[in-house]
Amino acid sequence: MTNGSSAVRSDLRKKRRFSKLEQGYMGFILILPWLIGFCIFKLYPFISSLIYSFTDYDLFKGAQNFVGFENYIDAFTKSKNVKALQVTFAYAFMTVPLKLIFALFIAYILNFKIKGVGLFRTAYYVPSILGGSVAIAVLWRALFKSDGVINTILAMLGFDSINFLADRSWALFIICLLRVWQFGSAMVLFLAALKGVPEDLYEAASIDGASKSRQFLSITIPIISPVIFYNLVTQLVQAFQEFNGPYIITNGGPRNATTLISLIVYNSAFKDYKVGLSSAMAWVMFVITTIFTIIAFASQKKWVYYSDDDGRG
Amino acid sequence: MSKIGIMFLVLSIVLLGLGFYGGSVQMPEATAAEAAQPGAAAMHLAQYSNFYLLLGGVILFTVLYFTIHKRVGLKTQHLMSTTVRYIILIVVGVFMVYPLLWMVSATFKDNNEIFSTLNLIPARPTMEGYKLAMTNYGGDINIWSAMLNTYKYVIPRVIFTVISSTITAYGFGRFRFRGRNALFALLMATLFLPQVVLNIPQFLMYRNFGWVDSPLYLAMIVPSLFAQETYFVYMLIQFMRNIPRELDEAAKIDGCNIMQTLVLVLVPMLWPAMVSAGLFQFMWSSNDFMGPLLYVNSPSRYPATLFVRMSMDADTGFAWNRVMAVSLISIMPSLIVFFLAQSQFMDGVTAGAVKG
Repeated sequence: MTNGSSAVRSDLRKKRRFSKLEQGYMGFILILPWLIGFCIFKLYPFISSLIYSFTDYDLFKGAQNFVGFENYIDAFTKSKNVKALQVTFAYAFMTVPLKLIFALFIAYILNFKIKGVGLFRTAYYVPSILGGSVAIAVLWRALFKSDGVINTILAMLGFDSINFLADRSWALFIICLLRVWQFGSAMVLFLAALKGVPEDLYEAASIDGASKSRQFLSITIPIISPVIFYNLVTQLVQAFQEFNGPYIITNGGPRNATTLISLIVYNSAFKDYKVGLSSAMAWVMFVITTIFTIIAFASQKKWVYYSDDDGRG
Repeated sequence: MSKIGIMFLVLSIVLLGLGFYGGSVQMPEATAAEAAQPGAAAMHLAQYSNFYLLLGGVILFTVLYFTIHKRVGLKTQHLMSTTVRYIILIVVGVFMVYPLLWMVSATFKDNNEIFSTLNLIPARPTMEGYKLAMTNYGGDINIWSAMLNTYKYVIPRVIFTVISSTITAYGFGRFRFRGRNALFALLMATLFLPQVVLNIPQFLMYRNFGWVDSPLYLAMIVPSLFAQETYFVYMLIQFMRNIPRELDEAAKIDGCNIMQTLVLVLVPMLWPAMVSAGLFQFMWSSNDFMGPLLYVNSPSRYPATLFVRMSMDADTGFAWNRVMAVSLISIMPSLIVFFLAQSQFMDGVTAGAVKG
């Protein structure tokens, strides 16, 4: 926007733009409530949970003794906790790619001149807005119970009924499905990004004889890569935190097949009163999430393409 | 036609043939043991005939589509691609919407019918589910007071979040002060801070404050006074960037002080973003399950989310129409708000900072 000749002028303006008051304390006063809230509701709990993770804090007795790394050793050796780590990874690695691929695929189709695009978009988006609610978890149970809707469909095709929620290999898949079903918000983002891809790039490519799939890989994907990146990071962070689905639908069962880390965190603190172990598990999860976020940000340079006027992010 | 194409064509015809044959096999009466029994293969086909028909049909369609697509003019090709796109969209749409429609129809069915048919139109429509949903479970809570409880904290939370987030966004977006960049980095970092890490110390802290099981739902409301949902702050800052600073300056020249500039100049421009933030907060707070699970203990103070879960535990196995009616009532306000304000939701999502 600013070309060379007006750069000086805009620099002058920038100096004029902030009066003494604005440069001084006024902005700080405006953000002060947030800062106070941050210290009380974020920073203090964040640090205390790290401290608790090295103690044997009991939710009701309250007594805490320093126990070193015992809780962390438990987190990585007790079979129940290790299982939860595995299940959480399985959950994240199943849901995140599936959700993103599906969202992109549908957004790609919707981006052709489709009549009734608004109607389809709404239909696909409703599950995202309701998906986290208890009502939908209840619905999921009705759909997948042993004589539920899905089994009625299977029976019509001649298959025997499957007790999805009691079967160890199916239960996690059903929980994942609930999340993939909520691909709408990622799709809306992709759709907006696809609409922003300049039409003339495609025209130039088809004159050069590039096929549709070639155009998709070489033009569409690079241009929308910032949105892919944004979706990837937010979906990862959320997938590692999922609680409602497995807690309400299967309550972690059968035989811990759907016990994600978040359930262990909740159960060990509020059922076993072991705040120490619970905090340690929460921190393990936090570190894992952070590592993945850092990997995503670090890999950004390799595959995310920011156009010049968008580089500020 | 390529060899692979022919192979699949033959396969689909065989599958369809098997399916039709299977459909024609007479299953023997259980009593007529002496009648001629169909062979094991025939029995198998009779059982799976629908499956074979479906599979064969899909393969046949795909083969024909690709074969014809190559041989016809551009105009027909275009028509065919468009048709297939609509088919995919409709099939996916059915997967998205059918469960919800099924839920609505289940509330009008009797319990014998709910799981015996896939029909959405009840054969014997009944209001039994709703009648039962109105009665309470013997405790001092029913669906209406649970709904009331929900909005007792959702509405203050929405209002406080919008106001506090706007003020914080204003401070970060329009002012320079010592440490601004460091604090902004901190704000952004909290976007990635998982709530699960904070839950237990927060619980212990709120317990000391006496906020657990508070009749005013303080644990759910008070943090929203302090702009603690970073998504909204971030979203509002992004919006504010697009409002020209010249407007602020003009207001200042006209003698507005800082708060007047915010309320009279920026808020009218920011309004769509503030509405979006409020709508999302409304949805997320109404759906919130973890918060009430931790901070609400007395059944009389249960919000709808806990009430639905309780009714599920109480009724699973027999009164599904009641459970479905309770669930549907609990999400009705969210659904209505969503359909009234669809475009704000879509705009809010694309504003760039929304989870879901």
